[in-house]
Amino acid sequence: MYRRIDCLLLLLCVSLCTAFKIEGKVSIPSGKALEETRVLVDDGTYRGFIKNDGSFVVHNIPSGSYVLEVVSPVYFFEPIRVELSTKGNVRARKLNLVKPSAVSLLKYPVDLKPIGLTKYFQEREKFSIFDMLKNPMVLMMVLPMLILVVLPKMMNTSDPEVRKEMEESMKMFNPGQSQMPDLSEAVTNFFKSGPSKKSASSTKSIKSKKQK
Amino acid sequence: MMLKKSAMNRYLYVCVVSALFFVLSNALYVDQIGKYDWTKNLIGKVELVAFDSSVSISKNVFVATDKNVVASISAKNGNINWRRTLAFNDGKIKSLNHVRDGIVSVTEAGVARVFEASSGVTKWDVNLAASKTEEEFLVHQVAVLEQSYTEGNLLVVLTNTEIITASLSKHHPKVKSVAFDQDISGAEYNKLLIDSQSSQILHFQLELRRGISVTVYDAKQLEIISQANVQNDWLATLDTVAVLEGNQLLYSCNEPESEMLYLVDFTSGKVLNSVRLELFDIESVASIVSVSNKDVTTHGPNVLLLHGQGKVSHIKVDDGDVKIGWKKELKSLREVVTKQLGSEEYSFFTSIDNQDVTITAMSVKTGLTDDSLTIRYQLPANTGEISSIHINMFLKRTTPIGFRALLTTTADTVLLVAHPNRLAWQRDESLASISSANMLDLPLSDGDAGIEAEFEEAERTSVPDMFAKRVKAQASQVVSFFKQMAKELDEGTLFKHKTRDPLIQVEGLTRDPFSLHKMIVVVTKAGSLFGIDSLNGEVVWRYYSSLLTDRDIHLYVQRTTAHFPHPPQALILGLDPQQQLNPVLLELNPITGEVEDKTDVLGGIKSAIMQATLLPNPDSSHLRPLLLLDTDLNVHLIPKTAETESVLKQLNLYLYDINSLTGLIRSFSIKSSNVAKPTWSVTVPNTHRIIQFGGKPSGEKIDSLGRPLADRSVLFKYLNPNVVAVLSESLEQNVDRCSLMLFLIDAVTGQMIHSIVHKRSQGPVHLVHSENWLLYSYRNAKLRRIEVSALEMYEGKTQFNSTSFSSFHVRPNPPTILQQAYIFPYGISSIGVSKTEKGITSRQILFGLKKGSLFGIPRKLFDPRRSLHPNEKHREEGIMPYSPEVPVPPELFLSYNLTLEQIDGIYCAPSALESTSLVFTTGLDLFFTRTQPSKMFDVLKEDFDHMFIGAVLIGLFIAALVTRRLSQVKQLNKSWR
Repeated sequence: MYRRIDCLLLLLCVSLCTAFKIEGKVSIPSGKALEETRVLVDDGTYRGFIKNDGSFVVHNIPSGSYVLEVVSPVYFFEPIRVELSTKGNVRARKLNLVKPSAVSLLKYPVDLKPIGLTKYFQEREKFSIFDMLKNPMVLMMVLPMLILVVLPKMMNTSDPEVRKEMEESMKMFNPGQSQMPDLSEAVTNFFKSGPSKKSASSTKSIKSKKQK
Repeated sequence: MMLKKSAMNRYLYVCVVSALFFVLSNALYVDQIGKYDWTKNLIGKVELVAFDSSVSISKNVFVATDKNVVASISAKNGNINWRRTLAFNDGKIKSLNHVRDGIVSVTEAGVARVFEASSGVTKWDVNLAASKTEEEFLVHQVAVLEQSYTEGNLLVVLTNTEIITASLSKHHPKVKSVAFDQDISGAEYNKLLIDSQSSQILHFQLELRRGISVTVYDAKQLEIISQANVQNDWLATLDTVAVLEGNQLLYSCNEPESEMLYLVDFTSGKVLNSVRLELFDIESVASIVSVSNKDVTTHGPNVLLLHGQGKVSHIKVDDGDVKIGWKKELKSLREVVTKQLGSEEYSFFTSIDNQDVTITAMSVKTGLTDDSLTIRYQLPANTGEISSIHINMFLKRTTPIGFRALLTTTADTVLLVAHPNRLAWQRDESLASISSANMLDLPLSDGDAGIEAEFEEAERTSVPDMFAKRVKAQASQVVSFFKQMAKELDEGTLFKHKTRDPLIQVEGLTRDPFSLHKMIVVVTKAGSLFGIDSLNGEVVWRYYSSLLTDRDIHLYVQRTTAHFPHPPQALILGLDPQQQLNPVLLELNPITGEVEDKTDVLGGIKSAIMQATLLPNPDSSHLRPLLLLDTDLNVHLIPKTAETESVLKQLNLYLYDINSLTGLIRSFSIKSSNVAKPTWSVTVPNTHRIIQFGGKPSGEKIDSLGRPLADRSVLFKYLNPNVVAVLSESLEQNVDRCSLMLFLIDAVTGQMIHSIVHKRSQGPVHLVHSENWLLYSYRNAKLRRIEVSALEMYEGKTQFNSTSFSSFHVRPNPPTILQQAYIFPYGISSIGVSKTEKGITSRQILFGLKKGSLFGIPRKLFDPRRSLHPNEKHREEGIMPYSPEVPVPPELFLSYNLTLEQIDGIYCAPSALESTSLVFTTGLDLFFTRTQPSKMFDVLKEDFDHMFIGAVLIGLFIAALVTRRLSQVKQLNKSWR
């Protein structure tokens, strides 16, 4: 009985004291980007350094579960979870923070490939005719021009039927015109309570002009 | 009216939605890099130095620091060529060597690495302790045995249990070891030397009361070649033992009446010769200096004996004969090192007299020196005292040798000094461990100050007087403008710009119109203070006092620059963490860096200081008095005048004190200026310990009192300024039993507003507390991830008292608490929040990520009202649907592609632009930038096209003229018809 306990204790001690390592490879072209790429386990509690051939070893890790991440100023990598058993067996799997019980195994020693370039910056808009046309300023200038110049040419306004149709469609667009007081009119009425007659007459004159 | 409100709401809604869509477009453009941000890369306190081992002058210096950084620094200008941060888990860096293969570093835990000298890429790494099960594995000494190119160099490591060798050249290092019969004692009793000619490893071990045992190993097979004991029972230190050529050991006996020098063959233990020191007219020997190289093949027959105060004698061993050579006496001698290069063997004597450093090189054989071999350098003020000297010797064509010295000081400054007294560069490495920072407005320029003064007594002066004053002020403005021009011409900085920032027009140390230019006052753990220019990170002033080393230093800004003509003033309080030494108080002008010692003001304080705080109200000179509370509950005011006492009397002041050691939270009420009265106290359960707490920042600007809801009612915020959040962690670390507890306490009444327990969670906790919300991060131990919890406090739909707030008001219902937690995908080292002038701009939460980035995200994402099933109301309010994971898009990294290691503090300050908040982060890298959480709504964007809008306006104007003319013509034609 005692001996068994001793054995257990010994095992425990071995498992507590032994440090393992995680090995892997990062596939990026060598150069400046490789020099500045770091391998962080548990956000830098343990660190690995990448050699020129892309391989790395993270030393001195006790058994447990860790998140391994490759951090590069150029490339983007997905972090992975690495689990070390008390005997030093290693398994790697995809990191799923939302559902930690989901296991999808990866190859070990891990081979990490970048997903793509990290996009830190917004791109400046380049000059293009289409963007230029979408600009509100340009729209402001070009559209009224089109309405003024092109539309009357497209339709033969001298034809009385077409004219009538147009007027009707205009009414369709703003049906409440007769009920809604004209904003400018309301404002002028409000400010010029005295000479209201004059303003009324002026609006009348406008109306009469329109009728013409 | 109702209609208007709804229109208003709709407008807000549109704004909110558009803000949501444009969240991601807050990113930088590539051409904005470095425009208004700067970084200062640091390495930490230099502990180990390795120079290029080649004979010519080296271009780079390799260092290892207390931050576990290995770096290559250019010897020319002090810039970092490359920097590698090792994991703290690998232990401190124990040794650093430069060899043919690269830079070899060995850590205490036995991880050896070789970095390429030019690029810093790892060539080779191995864990020497990999197969060990011993708990104690300590690296004592390291040497590199140089062998032929085909064999490759051999790394030799002496640990407490064995000697380990590893071949450096192979990709897969062959590690061999030979264990000792028993553990060896401390490093100071052991010496590891190598003999590269005969490929041997020599291990000297001093056993007290028995003598020195010398073991010689064959480096390839690690077999013992010879073992000998040099018997003596009085030797107590290896300082008086030197190894010479031809397997000879020279040591001195300092016993009274028998002061001798012994020469021994260490392979056999046979005494070759012994000489009485009296013959050489030498008293007792303090130490024997031989060549500092670990390789005995470079050791010649010469040694130096140091004895008495600065006395040096040269001893030469010739065929078993011990002879005396030259003798010298140097004043205030600090250190002697002997270096050997080729056939040249020189000793370097460093004398330090106050701030003057003199390093003299002497030929060991002749004892001759001349002016070309002496560096005389006066340490600049405020850099501390010399703590270590590293000498780089190289061969020269004209004179036999040249040398440079790398000096490190107690203020963690590193200086490289060259002959005769030239400072090549200086690095302030104490900035790598900043304990607190403060961003202060700069003072007004003379001209602006004149205008300010003009309005000071505007009511009492007549119109002509005012006019005269105005003319005078503007004349002085013109004068100061020309003065500034002349000064810039003089310095040659007229067309040089510190920054490319288009918003900053004034670059001198005066306030700019947008107040974007600040003075950053920084307190470091080494006890030095710095004033940093926020435009480019230049150090404007520095201060170091040995009084402040190893103290908890607190900086209190009593008066800002806003009160012209009173100068700004700050107090620095240095407390001893053990409460043994007396506190230190300094008065500082934070803009100029002038310091005055005011420690005698604290003379009346008998017991340790428990709390210090600035009073919220200033006195008539706009100075906020500092209140100190000692452990006997006596209250002290600085400055202590009748006026400041009356300021205190008018206040109804409460103080709280959180002791994280005992877990006790106490509150005191201060009514009179003499004694504080304890009011309440709370203790966290004894199974827990307090790890983090946070009150709200004092004087915080809050723009709106509530949140408009979709049904046109208002949800009022619970804006109690006295709420303090306290977080405690269970002592139990087991995953299933650990827990975190959060208390929200009213610090005045002691009322527990809210408490919550996070089961199976642990620290470290980072926390921000502001307005009516709280945000903290912790680790979910069970699910092994970092979570961020957001908590908001609301009064409800009615306000209890809309005019004033008191903690003593009895409220009908406790505040409503809303809380939500989110998963954060990266480790967090620090959390901050943006701060703006009026608090209108929405807040941005700033995360310092452990992987080395600064990430800023709108607080809106941490809205605890985010719903899993959003309905129409949520959409109208612009609340996003709940998603468990916080998105971390790289576009929102304020630090873009930079790496900011070990961010430990995020400091924010408002600028005069409501949209803009200034951000300063500390850590191994300093980073300064600015952020616009709601985009830049008050200044035109820099890519705003002035030409284009001008062209459009002119175009429209011309079009109007033309069409007017055309319509007139048409009208005329019509009338004719």
